Amino acid sequence: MKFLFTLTLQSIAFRKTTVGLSLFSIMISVTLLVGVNRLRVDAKQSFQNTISNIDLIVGAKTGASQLLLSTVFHQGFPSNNISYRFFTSMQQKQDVAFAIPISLGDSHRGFRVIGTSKDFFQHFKYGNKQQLTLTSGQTFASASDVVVGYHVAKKLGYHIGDNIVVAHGMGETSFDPHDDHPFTIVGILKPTGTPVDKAVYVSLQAIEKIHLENHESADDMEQLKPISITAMFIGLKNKVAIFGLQRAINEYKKEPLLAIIPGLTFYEIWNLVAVAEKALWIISIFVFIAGMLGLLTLILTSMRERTYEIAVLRSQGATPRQIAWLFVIESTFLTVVGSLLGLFLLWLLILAFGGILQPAFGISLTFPISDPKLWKIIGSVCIAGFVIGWIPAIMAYRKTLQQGLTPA
Amino acid sequence: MIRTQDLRFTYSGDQAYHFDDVQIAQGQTVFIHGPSGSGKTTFLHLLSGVLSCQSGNITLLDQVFSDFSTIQRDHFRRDHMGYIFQQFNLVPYLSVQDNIALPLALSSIKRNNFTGDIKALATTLQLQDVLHHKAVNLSQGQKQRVAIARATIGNPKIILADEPTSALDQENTDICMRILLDQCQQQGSTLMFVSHDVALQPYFDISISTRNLVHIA
Repeated sequence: MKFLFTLTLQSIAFRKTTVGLSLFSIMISVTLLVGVNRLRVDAKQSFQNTISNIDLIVGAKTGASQLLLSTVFHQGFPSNNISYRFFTSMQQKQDVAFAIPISLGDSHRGFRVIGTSKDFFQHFKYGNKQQLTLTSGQTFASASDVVVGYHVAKKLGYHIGDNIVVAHGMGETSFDPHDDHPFTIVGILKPTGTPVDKAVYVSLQAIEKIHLENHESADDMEQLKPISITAMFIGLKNKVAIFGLQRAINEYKKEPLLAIIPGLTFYEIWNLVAVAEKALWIISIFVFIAGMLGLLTLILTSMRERTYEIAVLRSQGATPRQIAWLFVIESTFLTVVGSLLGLFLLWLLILAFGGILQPAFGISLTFPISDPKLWKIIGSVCIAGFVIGWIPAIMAYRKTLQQGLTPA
Repeated sequence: MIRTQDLRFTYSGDQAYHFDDVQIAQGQTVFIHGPSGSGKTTFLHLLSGVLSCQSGNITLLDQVFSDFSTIQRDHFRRDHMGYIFQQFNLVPYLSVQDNIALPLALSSIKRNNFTGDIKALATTLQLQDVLHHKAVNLSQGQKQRVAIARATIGNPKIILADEPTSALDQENTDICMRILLDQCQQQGSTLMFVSHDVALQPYFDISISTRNLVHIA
């Protein structure tokens, strides 16, 4: 077998141009196959990582998806508000580590304005438990301060100290601007690749203030007590308490409330887009099949060129079985090397573009070296190479020595 | 020893060959000559097992070779024969050394028989300077010398040569003939050599014309 392997290697080296093209095609299809699969997994992971340390999201009674989409992804509208009193009661609960208020309803040039507290910047985490940080400035201290997401600042060209006005409603062009209450940008967040980048953050007091009839009389943060908020994010000290607290909130008699576990709702929403995910996977499988057919074509074409070489080997005593093995070894070897090159290419691509994908699309692409699924894919690819090699092998096995020695 | 009895062969739907009986003692050198299409290569292919006869017997080294299965014939050819072709038939991507050693890699009998070293053999055949060159880069004369080395390595009892000098000039023909016959003599191999070139006749112990050997119906 060692002799056959050496012979195959020398034969491959002799046909390096055509073999190189075939290796290239296998490499590209493996890169796509593993890359698309990785993108699929990482996109899902990144979607779920939009928030990473929130145990419960509480809002007025509505659909679970609607509550998640409106509070985390800024899509759609919340149906109702919850009382600020309930929020403060939650803050005081023993199991609750932190509670972040979320107040929606206003916008700035198409970007959502989110009323919240300083706790948001301190406790909200995304991705792999990453904390929000500022590129410059600080978080809001007064009812006139605003912190903008990275994308907002970049797209609208904002800097610290710029004045902006917010408008009622969610449209890009509002007919109801609160232009009598300008805000000053005091902080700009670093990019996160999550919807956080596309929002404007003010204090709950600011939300109250812009909706007051007489703004001038109320500039003191202490005086501006909110009555209601849209939702809240809750983090618990003890994760075991999640289900108990969720149930208690859902059965709360004084207000119609809904508490959801974000991870579960993420999963439900992701299942809605599973069709697209599967389509992507099927496409990459077809790309792979095309790559393997390319390999088969190469080997079958090379068989014509190698008829003479095979006849020589046969005439020197190589058995038909040994000749068959030459093709199987070649096909398997090229697939294994092509797969490794494909992985290497993927690694290079992730190294080169991974850093761009995270802030731009929120997908943190990782090289899945320890992912068993990756090795399952590579294993399947190599088995496919081994199986495909048997087609020319059987053809060569059936060829008689006479056929090879007689010039065509 | 080589013996054939009432050997008949027909290519599908084509002319039928009937070969006169032949008996060659071990170590003899035999020259079979005749024009193209006269059946000399067919005779050689029957002796090597590349073709199998429809009737009659071939006995090689006291074994009824014509009764062998395809695999048995493959093994017999691998272990006891050396084959030289008109077109040199070297493996193009292997070096001269690897081409010469090819039969040793494939046959344990030849491997055990071979006690010398390839470099010494290459020197005898004046191939020492090209030992590591790829076969594809050799001259015609060098290629045929490699083919002779490959056919004779491992001391095969029977060496079959199919028009091995037809592509060579006179000088290279002489060199190759001398080397081939020397090797056969040293090893005691039987040589069956077919060619259309009657001028080679003096090199051999026995000369057979296809006019006497082959009857075409």
